Amino acid sequence: MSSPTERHPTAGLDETVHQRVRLGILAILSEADKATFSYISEALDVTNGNLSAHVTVLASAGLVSVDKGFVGNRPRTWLRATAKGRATFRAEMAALSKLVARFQGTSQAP
Amino acid sequence: MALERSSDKQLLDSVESARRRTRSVLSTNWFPMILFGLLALVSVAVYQVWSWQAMAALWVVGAPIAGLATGFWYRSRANEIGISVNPIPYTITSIAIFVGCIALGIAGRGDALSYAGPVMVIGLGYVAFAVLDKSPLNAVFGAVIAAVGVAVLAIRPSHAYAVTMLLFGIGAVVLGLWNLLQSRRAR
Repeated sequence: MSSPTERHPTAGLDETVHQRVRLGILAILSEADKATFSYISEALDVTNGNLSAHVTVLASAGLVSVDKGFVGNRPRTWLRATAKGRATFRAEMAALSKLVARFQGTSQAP
Repeated sequence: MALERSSDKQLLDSVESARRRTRSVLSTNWFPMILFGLLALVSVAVYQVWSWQAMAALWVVGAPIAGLATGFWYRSRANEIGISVNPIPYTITSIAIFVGCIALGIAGRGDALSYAGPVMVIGLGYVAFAVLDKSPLNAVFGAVIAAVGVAVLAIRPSHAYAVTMLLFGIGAVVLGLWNLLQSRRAR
């Protein structure tokens, strides 16, 4: 049982990243050095338009960086998690895990 | 409230699943495993048929070429599938293995250290690669190879080079083929 003065895990959630696609983008980029826009859209099963909107939110918060380039003649958009993005992702996962553990604890209580 | 928490659980599960899939895609390493495994097996044949000088020359020339080929393979694969790891820790580990093997090979002056030392370095290097790839199987393989190096240094058996390199070569090729099979299944 948590004490009344203990901070509730929801206080640790970040509204910018507490969303399936945005958290998914950071999850992929936290494991990799960089990933293309098309790899992420396929991996998360979202349309390019939808992904683009979420990337814009993350980029304007300084959580991902976007580099446009070419592989041969084909244009490629590479995404990278910034240091802030990686730290935010770790904090979000910790808060989310805590919250789920707390919920499971209460739901299993008699 | 319960519904919200249940969606948090789904969110956590979907993120963990995305991380696992990414890790699995990034830990594809069959090309260097098979290439260096085959190089080790060929080196045993060279050592048996010709001389240790020919075997040493094979490693000094072959290892950097195989290293460059591995670099090109990872780069073209990253461009093909659209995701890549940071190459710097892999490059540093590869150079450390190469320099460590050469240094201990020379320092051993033809004694047990000259062949057991490089085996230990290769084993520890593979443990480092396994940590980067988050691959427990490869970590066990690297630790076994390093332990074999220590055992060879202590026991000094006859045909030590052939025995250790056959073990390393066969093990690396088998793990490489297993990784190739896994990566084909994941597609």
